[in-house]
Amino acid sequence: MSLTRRTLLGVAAGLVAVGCGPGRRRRGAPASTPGAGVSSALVAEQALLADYDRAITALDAVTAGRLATARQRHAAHLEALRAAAATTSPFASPVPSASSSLGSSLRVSAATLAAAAVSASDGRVAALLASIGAEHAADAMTTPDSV
Amino acid sequence: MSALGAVRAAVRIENEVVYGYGVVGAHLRGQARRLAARRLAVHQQRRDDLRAFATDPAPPAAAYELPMLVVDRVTARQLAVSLEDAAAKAAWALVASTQAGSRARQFAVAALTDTATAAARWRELSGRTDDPALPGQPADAATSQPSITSSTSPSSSTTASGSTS
Repeated sequence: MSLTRRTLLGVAAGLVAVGCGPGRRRRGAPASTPGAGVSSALVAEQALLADYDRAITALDAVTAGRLATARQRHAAHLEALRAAAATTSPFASPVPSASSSLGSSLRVSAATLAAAAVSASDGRVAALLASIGAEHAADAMTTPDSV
Repeated sequence: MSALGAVRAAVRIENEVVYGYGVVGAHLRGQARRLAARRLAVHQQRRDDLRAFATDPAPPAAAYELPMLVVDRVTARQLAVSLEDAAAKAAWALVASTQAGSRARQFAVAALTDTATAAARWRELSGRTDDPALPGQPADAATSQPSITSSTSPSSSTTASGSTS
């Protein structure tokens, strides 16, 4: 579980590490392939869903109920990314570090998705990645630090 | 929608949001009022930044038709959610229409994150749990290029959804 989660979450941060972050792309450098951000986001979203499942089973009913509502949004992200992935190429991503909590995972994911949105060559893919990243940022804000 | 069209549309929406937050703030007190004041400043700055991207940005109208009647703190918070949702739609369109790696794309992505987070905060203050899975997504996003309706006259009355009346 730990290795799998670390692997999955690392994919996202890897995008930034290879230079997809804002301001890192030099003038004239090619934008990322359409499939790059989508594939990475897809894998990271699956990891987040696993994190939600783990947290929901370990929490009291009230907190778990709030997280379950948020989990539905992440399931919708997964569906949207799968639909987008059907029209883009797969992409092999580097692997990096894991986060210590759900809130931390959401913050890392939000930053990674924002960077991928900036560099995405397809505008619709960029908007999708930016929107998912924005929602992750919003969820991070409302997720207790202890989760 | 072209990048310039998206910028112009975003300027119009931000003009409206700035107007709307004046109404929101007038009906709130304490923490919520301070949040409204901060969001007003954020949207004023964003509007000004967007105007720098456009060659002939629309000037603000004297007044805008709000999407709901605001009479108390409950409806004021509802309007705040509506304003941020409208700004998120404008930001989505801007992200979709700008070039990869450009300053405008970076600006639009940051704006979408900011406004989605603010909308979530207002929903939380309102006790609402209807946060959208995909903030800013237009209704037709699954089948076509994202776009928002824009008015042809800067002085025409508009709503927070971006439509004209």
